[in-house]
Amino acid sequence: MKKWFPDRNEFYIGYLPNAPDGITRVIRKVILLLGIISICLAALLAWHQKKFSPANFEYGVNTDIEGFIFEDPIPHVLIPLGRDQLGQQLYQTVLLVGFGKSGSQNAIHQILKSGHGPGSKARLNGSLIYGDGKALIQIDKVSDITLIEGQIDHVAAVQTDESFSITGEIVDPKCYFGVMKPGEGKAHRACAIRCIAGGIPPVFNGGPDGYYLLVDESDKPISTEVASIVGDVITLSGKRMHWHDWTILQIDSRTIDELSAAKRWRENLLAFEQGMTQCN
Amino acid sequence: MSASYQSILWNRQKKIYDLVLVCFVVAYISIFITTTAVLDPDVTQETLIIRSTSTLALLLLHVILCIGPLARLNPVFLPLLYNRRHLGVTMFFIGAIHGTFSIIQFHSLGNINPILSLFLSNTHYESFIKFPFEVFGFFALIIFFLMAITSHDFWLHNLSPRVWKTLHMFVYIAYLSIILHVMLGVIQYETSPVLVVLLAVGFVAVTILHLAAGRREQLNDREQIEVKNDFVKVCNIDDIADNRAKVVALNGERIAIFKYSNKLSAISNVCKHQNGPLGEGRIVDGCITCPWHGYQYLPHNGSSPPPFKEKVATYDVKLVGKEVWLNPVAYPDGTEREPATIN
Repeated sequence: MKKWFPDRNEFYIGYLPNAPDGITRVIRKVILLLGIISICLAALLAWHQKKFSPANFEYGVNTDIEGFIFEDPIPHVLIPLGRDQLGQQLYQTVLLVGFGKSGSQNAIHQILKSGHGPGSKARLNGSLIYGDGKALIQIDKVSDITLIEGQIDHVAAVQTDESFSITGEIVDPKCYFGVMKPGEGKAHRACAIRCIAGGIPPVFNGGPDGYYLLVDESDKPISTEVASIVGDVITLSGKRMHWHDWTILQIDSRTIDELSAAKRWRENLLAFEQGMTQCN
Repeated sequence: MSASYQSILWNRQKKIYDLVLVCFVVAYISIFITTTAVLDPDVTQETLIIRSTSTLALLLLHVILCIGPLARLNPVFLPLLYNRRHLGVTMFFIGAIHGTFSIIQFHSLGNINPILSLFLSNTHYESFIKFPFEVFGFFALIIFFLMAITSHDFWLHNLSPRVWKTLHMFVYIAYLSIILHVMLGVIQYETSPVLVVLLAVGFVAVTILHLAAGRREQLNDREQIEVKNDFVKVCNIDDIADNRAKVVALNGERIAIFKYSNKLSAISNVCKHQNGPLGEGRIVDGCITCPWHGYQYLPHNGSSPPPFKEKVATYDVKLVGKEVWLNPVAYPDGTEREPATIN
């Protein structure tokens, strides 16, 4: 302790120009130690973060793409890639989303109404979002879409499984595939809920196909219905369908309601049971 | 110590304090950002800002909370306490950057107001594990904001030291909120145990230091003396060093008996500025000087020398042989009392 009290008679007064020598010596050592600890902590905390996704959002960079636009099952543009060995046309699906936490349904609906309907060819100017083989484009305003000559027919999804179950979490694709890092998990849950509530179609992350678009029995996208279970690890069942380079899971919308309600009920029951066990 | 209010009453020590603080903040943020960007180039700028400021604010909060008990346990740490309010305001600004960027990043540009989104997006209020962790951070930031804007002595005087001190004790509620904010947020996302371990170490350190400082106060107060008649014997004259004090607890009040210039005077142990322990101070230039911020009082009347206006209660003290006797009935703040003379 003597080291910490070089002279018991020393008394520190902050507004005097100089601190006593002994106290100054000790405080210098304390600050140096604190500085070294802090620098080590900064490096340690930075080093031990979970790896960030290599997905990308070309913020501030506008790209022109040409393709055929559709609003069902969710707004998207099909970009021709060429033909496969059987001569069938291949497309890259690019999901369309709006600015911020909003979908593009209104903009696409408006454009298609003014043109020749679904499958109209258009030139789109927006910011690309891409990661893990999936792509989206952010369209800020209707004027960023220009209809051009050309049209294709809607290609229906092909059902591959009548009854299919997958376990994973619901994410919003805009954040997950590049805008946010991290774009999943508890830290991002509120943002994902806002994005989905704003019209960005939810994507299920999990299962053998990786990512699934969710539609109800009428092929309409499921959105705000899943708000209470976004970010939770859940199991969904339904019909699996292949559609271009995506997989669609068609589920009964009542399943989501039941899932949300049942999940909360089970959790509340479990908490109650644990409480009772502790009381006993 | 100043007779009028200025935004900051700069002096050399404060300048050194703030310079070291700025260097510390810049070094921490630079190292965190550089290390993250080098190890994982996929990180975004927003995430770098959010995470570097959050971890730095958390670290500063722990340092702030440790300074108080450290200074009580060992006066050598008093220079760290002297300008702690600048440390607190800095911590608030860094925390506010974290909060603002997080709200912009995760809650803005949606279909409802960003502040409402913070409360209404994740609504799992019934579940502890899924609880919206953002709410804890928001309320902690509100407390830090109130503390930062009232940190100036103007508010200390206008709110009264008692109200001001009570408000600033809310830092402990804010600290617990921050612990919950981290535990229910980023820790549920990260897989490395490092943050959990560091948070636990910080919490244990803060708790142990506070318990140790509290224990010391408790032991000092145990010397409580039974009050009989008017005066009570409190110690021997040789128990008090020159220009220093002995603190005694009588009827729940701490009283400091100072020995100086062959005289004895007794005043309240509680400084009017921030409730600092006057009895741990010294007589400097004939004035009792508070160890926390150097506020001064004349020993015989408990008043700050003009033009200052702070006053504390005074007590009657007398010497019987070598025994120091004290009357524990306080006189109104600033009442002049004849010092006991040491022959």
